Amino acid sequence: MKPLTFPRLTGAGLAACLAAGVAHQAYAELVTRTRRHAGFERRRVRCDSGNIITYHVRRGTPGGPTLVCEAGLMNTATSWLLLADFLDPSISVLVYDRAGYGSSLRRCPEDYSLKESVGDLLQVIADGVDTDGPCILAGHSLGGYIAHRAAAEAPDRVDGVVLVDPNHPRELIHSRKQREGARAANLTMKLGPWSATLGAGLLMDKKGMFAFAAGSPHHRALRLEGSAPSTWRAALREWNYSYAFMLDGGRPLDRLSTPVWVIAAESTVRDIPEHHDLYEEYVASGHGGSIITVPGSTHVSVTGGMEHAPHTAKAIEQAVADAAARRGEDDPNRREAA
Amino acid sequence: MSKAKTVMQQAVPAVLAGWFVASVLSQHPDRSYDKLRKADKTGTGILIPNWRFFAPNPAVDDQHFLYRLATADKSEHTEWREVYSIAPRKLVHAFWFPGRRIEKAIFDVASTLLHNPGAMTPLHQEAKEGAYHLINEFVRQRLTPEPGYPLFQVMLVRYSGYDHSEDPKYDMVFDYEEVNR
Repeated sequence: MKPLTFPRLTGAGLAACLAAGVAHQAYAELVTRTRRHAGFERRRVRCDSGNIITYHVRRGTPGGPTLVCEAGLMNTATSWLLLADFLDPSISVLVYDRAGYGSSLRRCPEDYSLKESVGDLLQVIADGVDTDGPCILAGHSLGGYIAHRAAAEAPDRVDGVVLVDPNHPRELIHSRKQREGARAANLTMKLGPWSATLGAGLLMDKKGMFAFAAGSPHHRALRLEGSAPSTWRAALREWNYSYAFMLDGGRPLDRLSTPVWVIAAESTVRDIPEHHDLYEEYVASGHGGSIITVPGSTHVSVTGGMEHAPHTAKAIEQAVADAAARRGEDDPNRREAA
Repeated sequence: MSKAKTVMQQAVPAVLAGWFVASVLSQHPDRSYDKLRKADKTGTGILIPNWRFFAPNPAVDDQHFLYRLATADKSEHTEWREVYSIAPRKLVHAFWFPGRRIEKAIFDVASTLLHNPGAMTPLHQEAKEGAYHLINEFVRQRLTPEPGYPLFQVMLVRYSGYDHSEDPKYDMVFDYEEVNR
C-alpha cells in the first residue's frame, strides 16, 4: 500500500469534493426540472416567443376568481406554494416557472428583455385561466413589475393586480441604499451560474439564507432550487437586463384601469423608507387599491415564511374579493345575473 | 518504528491536507459561499484564509464617469456623456506617465463606493459621503451645461478599454445634483 502523503490526500480530497458538488447540482437540477406540485395540475404552453412554459393550476370554484402568481428573480413557482396553501380553496391558483427556470424551457432566439416575460405571462393566462371568472395577477419582487406590465397590456383580461414587495423600475435611481444593495447582488449573480455548475451550491450557507422558510413544507425544494445551475442561468439573464434597465431609470409606470394593491414587507419600508414613495406610485397607477404592510416580514418571508405567509394570503384574499366585486359592478351582464 | 510514530505519520498529512482542501474551497470571491469558513471559530478568518484579504478587488477595468443633464422635474434627460477619456496606453507609459494620476484617483474613489457596499460603520459611511461629494464636484467642473437642464446625474461604468466587443458594466447611478451651486 502506498503511503498517504500530503499531495495524494489533497488530490483525493479535492476530487471527492468536486464529485460531491457535481452530484449535488445534478440532483438539484433533476428535482427542480421534474417537480410536480401536490394538488396542482401540471400543463405546458408554447408561447409566441418560442418559450415552452410549464404552469401548475389548482382549480377552485368554477366561474370563481383565479389568482395568477408571478415569482421574483431567482424564484420559481415553488416560492408561491406556501402562500397558496393558506389561500381560500375556492380561489383558483395558477403558478408557473418563467422561461429557463424549473421545467420551463427558453427557446426564444432573441436577447432577453422583460417584454418577453410579459408576453409569456399573457399567453399562460390565455391558456390556463378560465374566462368566466375574474383574473387577478400577483407578483413578488421582479415578478411584481412584470405583472403590472402584463395588466397594462391586457386590460380586458386582468381585473386586479396585487404586488408583493415589488421592484420598481426607478428604485435604483430613487434610493442610494437600493443601488448599493444591487451592486452587491451583481457579483453574486455574475458568478452564480459557474459556481452552481461546479457544485458550489454545497458551499453556500443555505441554513442562514433560507432560515426565513424554516418549518415550511417547501423549505427543501427552495434550497435545492438554489443549487440548480438552470436557476442561476435564468436569473443571470434576467438580472443582466433588469439591472441595466433600472440603473437607467427604467420607464414610467403604465396606467391601469384596474386596482393595484401593494403588500409591503415591513423590513423594506423600515430600512428603505423612500421605497414607500414608489409603492404609493404603484397604487396611484391603478384605480383603487392600497398599501398593506405585513408586520415583522422581510422581502422573502412575506411569501415564504410560515409566520408571514398567512397574513399575506389574507391580504390577497381581500384584494381578490374586491376585484371580483368590482368586476361584477362593471359588467352589466354579470350584474344582471347577480 | 513505534506505533505512535506511525499514527503521527498518517495523521499529520491527513490533517494538513484537510486544512488545505478547506482553504482551497473557501477562495470563492462571493461571501455567500463562505460556509466552510464559518468552521473557523476564532472569528478572525485566520485559520481558513481567503485571498481577498490581500487583494480584495484586483483592477481589471477602467472606471468611467458618465453624466446626463435633467430638467427640473427629472422627466427629461440628455444622453449619457463621458466626463473625460482614458488615455490610450503607449510603451513609454510603462516608464513615465504622470497623466495616470487622475485615472488612479478616479479608480480609488470609485473603489470606495463600489467595494464592500454592505459596510455600514460610521467610518465607511463618512468615506462614502466624501467620495460621492468628490465625484459630483469633479463632474460639475467638467460638464457642459445646457439651458433648461438645471440638474445632472452621474453614472459609474467599468469598461475594459482593450476589448471593444465587451459591453460596459453599469455599476451605480448617483442622486441628482444641481449644475450650478
